[in-house]
Amino acid sequence: MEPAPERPLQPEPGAVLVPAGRVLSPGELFAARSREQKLPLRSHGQKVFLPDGSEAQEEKLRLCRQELWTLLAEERVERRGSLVTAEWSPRDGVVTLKSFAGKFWQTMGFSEGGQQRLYPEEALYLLECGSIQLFYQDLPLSIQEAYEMLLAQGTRGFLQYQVFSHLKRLGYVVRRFQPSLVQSPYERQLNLESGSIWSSEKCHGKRKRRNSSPRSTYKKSKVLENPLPEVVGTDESQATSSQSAPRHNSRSLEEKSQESRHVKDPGGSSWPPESPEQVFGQAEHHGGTLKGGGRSQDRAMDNSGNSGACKPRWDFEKIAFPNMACDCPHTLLLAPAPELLPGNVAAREIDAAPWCQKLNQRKEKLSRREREQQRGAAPFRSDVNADPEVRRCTSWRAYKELLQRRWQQKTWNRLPNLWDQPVTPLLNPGQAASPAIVLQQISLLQTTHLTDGVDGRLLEKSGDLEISFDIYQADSVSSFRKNDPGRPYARMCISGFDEPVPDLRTLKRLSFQSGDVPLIFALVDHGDIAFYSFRDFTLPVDLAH
Amino acid sequence: MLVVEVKAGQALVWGAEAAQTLRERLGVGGRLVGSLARGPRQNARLGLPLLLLPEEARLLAEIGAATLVTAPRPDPGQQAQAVAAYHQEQESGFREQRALACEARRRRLQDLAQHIAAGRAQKQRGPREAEQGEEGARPRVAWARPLDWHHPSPDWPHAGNPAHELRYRVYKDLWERGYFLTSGGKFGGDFLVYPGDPLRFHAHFVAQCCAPGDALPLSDLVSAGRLGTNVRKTLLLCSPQPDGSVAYTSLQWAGLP
Repeated sequence: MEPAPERPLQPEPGAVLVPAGRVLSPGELFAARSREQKLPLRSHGQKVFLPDGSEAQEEKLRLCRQELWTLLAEERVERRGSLVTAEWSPRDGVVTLKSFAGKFWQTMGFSEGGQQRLYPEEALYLLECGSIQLFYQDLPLSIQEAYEMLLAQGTRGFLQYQVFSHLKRLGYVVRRFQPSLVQSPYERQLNLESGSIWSSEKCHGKRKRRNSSPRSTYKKSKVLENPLPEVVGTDESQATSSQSAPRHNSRSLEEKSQESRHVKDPGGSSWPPESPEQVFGQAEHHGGTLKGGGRSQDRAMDNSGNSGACKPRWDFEKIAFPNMACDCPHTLLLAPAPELLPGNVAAREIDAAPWCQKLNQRKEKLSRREREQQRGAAPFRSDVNADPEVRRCTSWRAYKELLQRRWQQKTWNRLPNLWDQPVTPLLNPGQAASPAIVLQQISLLQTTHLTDGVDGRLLEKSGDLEISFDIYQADSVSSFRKNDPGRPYARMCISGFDEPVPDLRTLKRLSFQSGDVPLIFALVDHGDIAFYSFRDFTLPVDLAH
Repeated sequence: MLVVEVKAGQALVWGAEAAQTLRERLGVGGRLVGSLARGPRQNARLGLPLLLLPEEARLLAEIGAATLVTAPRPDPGQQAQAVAAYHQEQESGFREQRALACEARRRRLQDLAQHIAAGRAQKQRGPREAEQGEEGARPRVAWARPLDWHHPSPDWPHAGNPAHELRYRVYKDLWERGYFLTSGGKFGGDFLVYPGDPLRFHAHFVAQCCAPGDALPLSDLVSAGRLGTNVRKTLLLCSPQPDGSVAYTSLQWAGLP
């Protein structure tokens, strides 16, 4: 029932009236509630080879056809309440949802500017499924109109839509390709979270928490019973303030790395002191990570990771640490001033000389293998400069002449052998352990992988073939999160059957873009979709050792 | 008059009656590529639109059975009218459906009268909410430009393409002989040739089109022949001659007895 155009606006001359679909009357709509829901079985018996004009064949054919036309002629009937209204805006090329999304929102669509949106192919698929009602200029679109409008060339074309709907009908979750979500294998190895939104949220949260409250998670230090001769600047009084905390602790470099991640809060509360690092002997010159256990000020850590806001109270360039190394021993340590120490701790002066003598006194007990190794390596470990002849050489040329002379002396009485000839043997006798090794020496071709040799030059050129979709498996639907979809099952490139096979450069570029996710090529041939993929394959080595 | 909508080289037919006419009266099958209304979430049976081969579309245009059009657009002048009509249709349809629903309910209550009387003491039945009506699609008048398929255009890039011409001549010749042809990409050929409707009959040939002067490498011949034999079809090599006829050569893999 097409209303005849009574308006004076004429269509252009020669324009053809496109027949419209059938409108169901209210009676038909009401009757559609009770129509058949099941699909009839496909086969009507075996197919026949030759038509013989018999009645039986004709009848069967008629039945098949009738069933087909009945199925095709059915119009979609949905309850109005179950339809989600959506609006198509050709300028943006997206569909905006006007009422709340249904179950499909879990795997389809995206949020933008506070509104729920769908990509054109998703909207068209949902329209075909009968989940949404698509409006354009206040009138609902029929599927015919939607095909015409939504599948323009600028958006994903007809071929892409065919592949998309095919995969969606099979149950896969299909999203548009997002190159930013590709996580390199290195990142995955380090367990870095993918997606900047996710990680930045987490980081921000953690940072905020750290900044807001002072670090109360410091472990209680173990108060030392015996005051060890810790390194203390004896010339300067390291005023540890009136807090009841033990002396300075020197830290080893390992703890420094842990500390560097913490943001220091220069709050005025008392810091429960860190667990002191027992550095026996104190023979090291620290990199300056000194930690005051009881200081109320911020930590004077002048390592790079610290973001200390205030300047440290002590100027470490002026504080001299005693050097107790063997080249300049300062082994007499005076007692610290009693007012610097807490009340119940007594300190005394110490002479560390006997301690230093005892260092490295114990004989290293090498295992048998290590001993043999040392013995084997030792003969060659001789100092070049200890040779008097080398000492006599005054220049590099003289040295090289000396080497040449020595080599000639060594070899002048050697028997003629294969290695003196211009053409030397391929392998040393000890090397040829198996035929495989021999063959490897003469191999001309090396195995290479598809992603080898991909550099910037290759990535810049953008051919016509691009990755279209990320595919996720059907069984992960319940745990699928649009913001953090995880690693896709496969990525899809779509091309028509008549287009040429992609060349090696395109293949390399696409596999590199895809990362370690398998790449599948979907070829659409007049409604038939075939999937192909290229896989790295290593030829097995044919020889048994 | 059948209308075939063409876009970016793809020819689509909407309308079940059109598809029926094409198949039953003209022997042009096409392939269904859309979702089926009854079961949109399965791949076994697909629904409208019907996708035609470029050769099929051109044949229909040549014999005058269908018109190729492009870019159908609804009439913009009728916009306000259409919106008003839509809303009015919704309301009237809703009212009518409600009336039908009440009527159906009344009849059902009558049928189950005794059961209702038994349970009436317990329950208190209030007037039930009128149910939501169903939704029907509202078609609008759309006008489209006819396509000139003699000349290449963005919507119809096949015109003048020598490969297309070649295939078209073979298609036309086989169609005139009464065969049913579909796309043969699955079997490594250009067409699959059926003696009757593909719904009931197996294909007899896999047709491969070759230009008359082209060299045919033996390896291609062997692979095509192998393919055909594996699926129990005869390979048909078709090449249109300059005089208008088409020469056919069939190939069957035979073993020495």
